[in-house]
Amino acid sequence: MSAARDLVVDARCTRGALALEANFTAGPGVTVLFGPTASGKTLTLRLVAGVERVERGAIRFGDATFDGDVHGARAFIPPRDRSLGFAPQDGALWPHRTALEHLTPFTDASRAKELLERVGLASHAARKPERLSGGERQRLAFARALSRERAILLLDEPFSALDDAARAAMGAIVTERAKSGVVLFVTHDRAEATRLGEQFVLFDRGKTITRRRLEE
Amino acid sequence: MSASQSLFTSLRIVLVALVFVVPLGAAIGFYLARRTGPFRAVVDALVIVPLVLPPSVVGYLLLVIFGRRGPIGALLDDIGVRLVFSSAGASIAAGAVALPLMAKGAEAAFARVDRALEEVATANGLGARETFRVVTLPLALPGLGVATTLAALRALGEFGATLTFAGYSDRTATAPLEVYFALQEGRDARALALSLALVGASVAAALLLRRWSQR
Repeated sequence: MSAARDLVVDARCTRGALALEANFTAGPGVTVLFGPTASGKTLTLRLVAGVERVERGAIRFGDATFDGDVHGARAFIPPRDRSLGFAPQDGALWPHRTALEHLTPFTDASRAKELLERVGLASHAARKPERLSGGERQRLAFARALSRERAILLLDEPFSALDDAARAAMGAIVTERAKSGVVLFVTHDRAEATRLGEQFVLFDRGKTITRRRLEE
Repeated sequence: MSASQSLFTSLRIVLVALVFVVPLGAAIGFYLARRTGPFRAVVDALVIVPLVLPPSVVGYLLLVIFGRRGPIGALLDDIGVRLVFSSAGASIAAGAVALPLMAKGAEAAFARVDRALEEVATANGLGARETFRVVTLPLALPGLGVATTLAALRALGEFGATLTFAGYSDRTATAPLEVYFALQEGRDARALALSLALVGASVAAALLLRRWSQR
């Protein structure tokens, strides 16, 4: 594993009742974050995204320290400079913009249309989120996260509202992207986790264990 | 001076006031919505001062600052600009009392924007300016429209600060001032006509507000 493209998470952060101590290394490929609700998966993703701050420890990617201590000094790289694609749990779609307009801030119109087609939303390009179903919204949030070639893809239960066929199709896109970068994939679904994951980080009340297989 | 002329004078003075009230108030509102700490608390307290002070006091304070002997007024006087008895002075008086409504309205508008919608923009690679343009501003726009309308109405209805600071002259004879002086001079019909026009403008603005807030 080339350390230059490894994401190293060694971060402590407390939010309400949750005391997170995340400790894992994710290389290129799909790393599945697995565990019960409120065990720290989403917070971990938000720390890597840079929309929450690490309290102790650090998050590093290759030579860069995203957040945390470097030789005694505090480092923080803002989210936009981390080369991320991020699909948060509820999608966080923009109510005032059409499906196509969710992608055009990040990429040109022709590639945006191509992406919508890949996730099966070509005919809904002019629709705003309120006119999309739950599954369509998730696919749009996923497409937005893919709209630039990024080093790290952060997907928080991206396909929970999709049927099996759509899940498999979207999963294939994730697998393809994982050849060229780090993917952190949060899911509750054991079958999906097993199908996509090359490595598993098991969360339990804020603590993490890394496994090569999901079954112990 | 005719009654309709004073309405145009009012309109011109309000529009000029909005040119500085809207961007300045929106900027203060954005700052108030996004920052915490002691300095924010000071700004928050200062910004509502013109709203709670008697307008005559606001006018007097403007006179102290912008009058010919005031720190800014003296500088302006050197380059030949006099605000007292001028239409620009009336705009400053109207703007001073309208600014708090713009700033507090803009604060509410920006505070209502879901931070998660901005986070997803920046985490996917947009810079601060782009995030503001793509997400924050369009989502705050209806609220900014409401704030602008309220500020405009407050500026339109301004009486005390205008009279104290800008005085009553041909160039500063706004509709509210005309109503007052028409009554003083016993021209009741004129006062009534102007009052009805102002009521009409307020109702129209209220209907506009309804449209914005329903979006």
